[in-house]
Amino acid sequence: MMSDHLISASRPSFTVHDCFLETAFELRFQGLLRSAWEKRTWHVIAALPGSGKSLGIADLEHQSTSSKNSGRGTYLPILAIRAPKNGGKDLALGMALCAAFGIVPTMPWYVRRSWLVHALAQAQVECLIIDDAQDLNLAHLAFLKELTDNLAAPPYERKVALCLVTAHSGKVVPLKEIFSRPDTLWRQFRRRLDTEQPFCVIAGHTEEEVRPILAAFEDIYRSQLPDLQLCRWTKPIFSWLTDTALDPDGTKRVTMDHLTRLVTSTLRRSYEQGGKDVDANILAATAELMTVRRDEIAEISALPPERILEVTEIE
Amino acid sequence: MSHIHISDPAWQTTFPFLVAPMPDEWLTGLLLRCDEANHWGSGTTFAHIFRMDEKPTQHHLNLIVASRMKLDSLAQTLAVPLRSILATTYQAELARLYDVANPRMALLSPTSFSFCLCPVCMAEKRFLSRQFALPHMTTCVQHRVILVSTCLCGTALRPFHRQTAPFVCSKCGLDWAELPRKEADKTRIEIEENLLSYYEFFLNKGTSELLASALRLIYDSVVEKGEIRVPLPDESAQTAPSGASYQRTSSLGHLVHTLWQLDLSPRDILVYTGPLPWRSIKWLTFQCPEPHCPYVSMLHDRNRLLDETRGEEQQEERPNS
Repeated sequence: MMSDHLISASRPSFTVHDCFLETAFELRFQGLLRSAWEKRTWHVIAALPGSGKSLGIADLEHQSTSSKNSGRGTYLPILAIRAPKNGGKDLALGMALCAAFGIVPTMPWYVRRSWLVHALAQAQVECLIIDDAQDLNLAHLAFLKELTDNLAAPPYERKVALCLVTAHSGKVVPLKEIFSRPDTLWRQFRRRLDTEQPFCVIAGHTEEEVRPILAAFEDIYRSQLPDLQLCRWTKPIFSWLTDTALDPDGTKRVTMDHLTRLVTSTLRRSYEQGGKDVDANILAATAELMTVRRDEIAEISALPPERILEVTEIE
Repeated sequence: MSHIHISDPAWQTTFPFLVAPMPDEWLTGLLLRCDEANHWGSGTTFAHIFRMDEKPTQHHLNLIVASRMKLDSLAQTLAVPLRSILATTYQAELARLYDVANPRMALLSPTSFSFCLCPVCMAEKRFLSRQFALPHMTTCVQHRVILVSTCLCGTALRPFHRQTAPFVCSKCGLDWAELPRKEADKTRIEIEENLLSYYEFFLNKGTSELLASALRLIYDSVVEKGEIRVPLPDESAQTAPSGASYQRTSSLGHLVHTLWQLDLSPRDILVYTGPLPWRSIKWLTFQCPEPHCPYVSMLHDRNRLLDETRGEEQQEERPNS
């Protein structure tokens, strides 16, 4: 019988799979985006950092029929961008929107500004999604209003949906305070938001919702850990991931980022020790690292193991 | 027809709205159609691809030859194969015909380039044929109308002008499709159809050997007629701006015009494989500036043969003397 050491030595290194899972959170999040797209409504959509907002937006874009075709033209029903960082003026947002189309030559901002309206109309944009919208400043928001107003006016007369997707913490929804201001611009903006669901918070996963995700992980990693059974650990995993260290707002929900980190880290360590299933001790130790010991400082004092360079003989 | 899904990395490296070259379309027309499809000012694509911040010169605007790197860049941004972009120039054809890696416009025509278009082609499909850039072409043989190079307002047509929309006069804004359509003279059409057949012959089948053969045929034909009316090399043969030696040679425009003048058909060139004809004593004084002129080489061979023959004759005469 081969020892664990021999098994691990003969095994290839553990491979992490970064595939998109249609989790309960994604169903809720993409459902709202689709609804906004269909009804051309405006929303501020908030979710905890690490929930899977950006992945959900990317998946929605990939599922769309957006295409460039030299015969039929360009069709871009969903235009999704990330809000410009480090502030900047309306130009920064304009550049980000232009970049979503591909290569746009250098041109003065006043030309680019009107070009963008043309391009959005010609590409039949129906839904604008701005990720990390908490980074938008007042100039950006004013430009968004101008852009959408120009599209709604003749000759285009195109009403587009707008989803400002933000990361939030606690009970505060970003942008809500800005849109409540008495200035005319913000009152106009507020008026354009959806009547029923202007500000939405998409919740993370309940214990019941964590179970199918673990089942999906079992399928994904079974080729590397043939006896993998993760679902039986649903309850402790949910308890660990709703610890106050990872869920400071006490939502009692699990984010996809925390769940993926716990699972992949545990599976990698179990695999490296020659295991064919997840090891309970490793699972607990990893959870402890993520919760109780998350702020621990690791001291790196030893030298890394010597790298063996492969030598290939060339005749 | 190129088709790019948003998940394809090519989405980010291509223009927002794509156009594909039409058969026999000229690069200038393709760049203008790209501007129009993307709602850009005339010459925006040209400036982006050719990185020209300064005012373009006539040399830049002919676009009948262009750097391979620039064409490669255009092919990438339009998501089309490089070969289809190359087909909008005469780059590959001239390179093969003159056996040079980077052909220059002077190989097609040493004279300055004049931009002209067919209003019917323009109205039908915003089409600029690369044939319009060929020397001596003044009509659209397909629509049988005279090519237009000046707007109704008197302004010379310019292919690119950043301040205006593509395909309009840079001064009065008249759409090029609205320019007058003047029917071309029947005789002129016939001449230009003839000239086009020469161009097609050289551009489609041409090699440096064929070119040399054509030059030889022209010379022999002139000698046979006993009057040299046509100077073989262009009077204004070009020198490279870099100062590097640029081979003096006959431009294709000049060659085609000469063949037509002498009533020598492409077929005549193909069947012309005989030895140096002994048709005129003028060959003794013939000088060609072409460094590797095959005819001069043949003359040298003939001279040597003649000298050797004379030497042998003298040796044969000595014993008797």
